[in-house]
Amino acid sequence: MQLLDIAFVTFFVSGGALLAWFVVLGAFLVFFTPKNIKQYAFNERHFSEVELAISSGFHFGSLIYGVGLIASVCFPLLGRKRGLADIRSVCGRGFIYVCVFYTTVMLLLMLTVIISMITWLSIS
Amino acid sequence: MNTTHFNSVNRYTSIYSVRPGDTLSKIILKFYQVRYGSNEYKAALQQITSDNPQVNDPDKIKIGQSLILRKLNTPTGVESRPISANAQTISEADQKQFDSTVKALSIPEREAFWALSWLDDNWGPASAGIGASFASMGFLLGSESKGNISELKKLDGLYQDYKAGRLTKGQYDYRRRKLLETVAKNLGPTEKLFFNGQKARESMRISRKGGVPATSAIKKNTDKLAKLSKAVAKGGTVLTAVNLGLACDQIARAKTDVERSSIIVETAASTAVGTLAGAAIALVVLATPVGWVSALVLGTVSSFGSYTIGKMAARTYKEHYSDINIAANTGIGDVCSY
Repeated sequence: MQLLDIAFVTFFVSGGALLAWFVVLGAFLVFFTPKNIKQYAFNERHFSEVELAISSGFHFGSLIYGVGLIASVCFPLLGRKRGLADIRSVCGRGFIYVCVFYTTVMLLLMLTVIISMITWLSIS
Repeated sequence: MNTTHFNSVNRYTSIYSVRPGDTLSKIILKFYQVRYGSNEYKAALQQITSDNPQVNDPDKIKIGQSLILRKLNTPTGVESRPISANAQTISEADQKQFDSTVKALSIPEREAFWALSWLDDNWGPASAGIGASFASMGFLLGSESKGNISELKKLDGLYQDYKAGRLTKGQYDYRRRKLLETVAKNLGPTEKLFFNGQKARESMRISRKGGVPATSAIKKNTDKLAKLSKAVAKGGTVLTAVNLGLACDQIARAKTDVERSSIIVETAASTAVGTLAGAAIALVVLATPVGWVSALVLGTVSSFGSYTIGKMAARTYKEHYSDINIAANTGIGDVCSY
């Protein structure tokens, strides 16, 4: 198997895995994120009215903001500008572990997609 | 709404729904770019009347009437494929279903349908990203209970308080100005887009002259925005949802296995890149506030990126892996067939 073959196949496999991880598992996690964490984060102290409108409901926008919240539990510095650096203080230990695991795997999948994509694009 | 059916019909040839103000000469100019009186115009007119026997008098076309428009025969004498000779011709039953469904749509829904058809023809798999952008637009405007529209509705309450003497003129003016400033800030540079070229402040000015109810401007504008919000959110969601159906439709219409497989590769690649963009945005969305324009730019860029990568992946497949029949091996070719 040549490098192009490996990169091309890896791109699709990791892309599919990312889709399942980010969209399917992400939607599941966002749905089951404890209410107190959502209420602590999604309010006018931390988000603009426009962003609050996007982050509510069940659609792609709310998935992005919900996963963003999960990522900020994993990396609290992400929410520093919005005053969410202390987000972990309202999270249970188990939820923090879940967020760290979810975000780390998502990052790894994203890196795999990017590297494999650059590889097959540069070869072909 | 059977969008896949509509789009498939649209793809075989153009089916145009006559709109108010349309004449055949306007339609010919729009679709064939030939002016009234020229030889090409006469040829186009003849072709349209022969393709559409229901048009008895070219000067009398009806609003909502469907016209079949196909490519004009080329000057070299190479004929374009007429619809009647095409194996994928529209059956009478399909045509009837199409006509009755289009007739049942409201004018905004018809506009949305033709926009979807255009997107399908021109963007293919990338329309998922565009759909997501549209959906975001709807939610950016909000609804009657939250978001910018609910803010605007508060104006009515302020005015009632002022009229009832609960607020002084100064208090009313100050609160009204602050509220409109918030809406303008939320909408950013797109403010004028939603208020017909005016600023929210100008558009929401309450008429104090006789004959017009004091709050009519507010009601008119909030109603308009609420409808727009609902339409774009609905349109965007539909567009996103039908994307896989559209790809499936493309696969069903493809003539060779290589073509079928390359569509699968293109769709999968653009979906992977679209997901990558979504995940990347999710990671940074809390680190940096996202406004109106940024949201639209991100949506457009990710749509364009996923579209381009999809095309490149399809090309790579054709160049290096065309001997692998993905459509048959995965069973997608069987699932997506008429």
